[in-house]
Amino acid sequence: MPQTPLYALGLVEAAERIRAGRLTATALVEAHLQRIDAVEPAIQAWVAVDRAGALEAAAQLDGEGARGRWRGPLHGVPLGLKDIFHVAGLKTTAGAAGFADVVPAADAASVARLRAAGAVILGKLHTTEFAFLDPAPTRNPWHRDRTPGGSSSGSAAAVAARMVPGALGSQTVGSTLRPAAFCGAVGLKPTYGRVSRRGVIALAWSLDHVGLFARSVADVARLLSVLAGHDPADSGSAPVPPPDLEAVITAAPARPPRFGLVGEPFLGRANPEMRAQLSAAAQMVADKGATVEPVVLPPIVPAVLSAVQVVLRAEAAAYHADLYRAHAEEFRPKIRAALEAGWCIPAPLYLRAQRVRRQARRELAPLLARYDALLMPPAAGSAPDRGSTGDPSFNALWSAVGAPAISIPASLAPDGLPLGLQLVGAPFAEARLLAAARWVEAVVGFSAAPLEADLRRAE
Amino acid sequence: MPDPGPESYHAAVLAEARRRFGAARAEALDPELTALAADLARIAETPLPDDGEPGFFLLEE
Repeated sequence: MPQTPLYALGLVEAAERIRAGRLTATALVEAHLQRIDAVEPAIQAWVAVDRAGALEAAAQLDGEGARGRWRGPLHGVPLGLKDIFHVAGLKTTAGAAGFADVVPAADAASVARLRAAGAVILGKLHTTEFAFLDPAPTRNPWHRDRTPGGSSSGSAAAVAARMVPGALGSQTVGSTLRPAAFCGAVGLKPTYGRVSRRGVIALAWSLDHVGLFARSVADVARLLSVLAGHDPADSGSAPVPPPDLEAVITAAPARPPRFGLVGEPFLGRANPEMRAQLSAAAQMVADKGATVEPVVLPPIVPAVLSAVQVVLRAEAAAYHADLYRAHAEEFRPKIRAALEAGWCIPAPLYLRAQRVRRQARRELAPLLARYDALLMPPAAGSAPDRGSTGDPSFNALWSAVGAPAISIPASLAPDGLPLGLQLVGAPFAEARLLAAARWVEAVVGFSAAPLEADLRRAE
Repeated sequence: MPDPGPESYHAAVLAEARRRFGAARAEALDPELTALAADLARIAETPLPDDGEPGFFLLEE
């Protein structure tokens, strides 16, 4: 049986090998730097790779390990960061280099947690401008004429192309689950308030979540176990205990979960291949003993999808007010139009949109509590062409009500690109959601990867 | 607030866009403003309970 290349190891496996003395952080980082050299020309996922900083951190961690000091469960594991996360001394561009870049003095709270757990920061990954909809230069590792999705374009593509075993992104509407689905990665948006956003460039305060990328459910669970926790310095951070995820990281649960199968208004927006895949996946998990029941979403859902658009535009306009006044002409077209529309929203309707979100959370709570997870598409189908980043509406409802959601790769579409499955849980029930996701992951058994010849073929 | 309906919201946001950004830019924004007006109308016509306060940060378990 061929040995797995170091760059293709999952982050839990890599951390275990380092902890057992079978691998060094330096060797792991060097393997990923070589991998980046080989495939980055074709994929363009990275804004900046901090080679010197990563190798220095790896050597430091190897030295600590040799002395019996282990920082935490990510000791020696390289990770990438969407370029809206502040890293002390590294430029943050937010996809708007030239008129909005800054060199922060301090790490984002999430980056500090990763470092404290032993992670090595490999560099910064492309985002769409200010995490909105104008496409980034990144290509989809499965097909370079297709979008990797957005706004966490580089995070999803780098993980899928085995340039890094895990990465952070963000989700305001659909910016983690959609790119994860398009790139064949696992993408997790935890509950709103679960992971601090301090030190992350905002798009819309009341909708912004930190997002997590890896190649397995266990790996994103490991990242969440490190990142979850209350941060009094983030107004949107929830004072709740972190979830206990060790059981999820260790093994798939034996008990078949209970699923609610979501229909409209989402199924009608999905293409035939995605609908067929969802139906096949539901049948597959039912055949393995899971309960699958059709669920009807409350009538408020279309209003929530509208509320997301209104809240995003109003809050983004407020957040970027000073920058817009100084640099209006330099913003890319979609973000500029959204900011300008945001200035035209009557305040009472912004507030009504926020009332709609809270009411929807109340109405959805019993449904989310009844099931281990709701099952639905994470996107309309496989990745569309690079003219857009795809339709985020399949993820918008769960961003609006702050419920945790995960996309896992499930099959290949007839065009050879991956199709994902979206699972949604109750707020702050990530342990239950991830256990269900790990169970589904084992049942669907997705193991495909982008073709090496395509990844190494630069234009 | 204008009477509920996409057309009246469109007229309201277009007027505000003209005031803020000038007629030419407001014209260029029309597709964005049309979509925004439809969203505003849908929000306005959605029934809500009287005690439904806005939820800025949805943090409750």
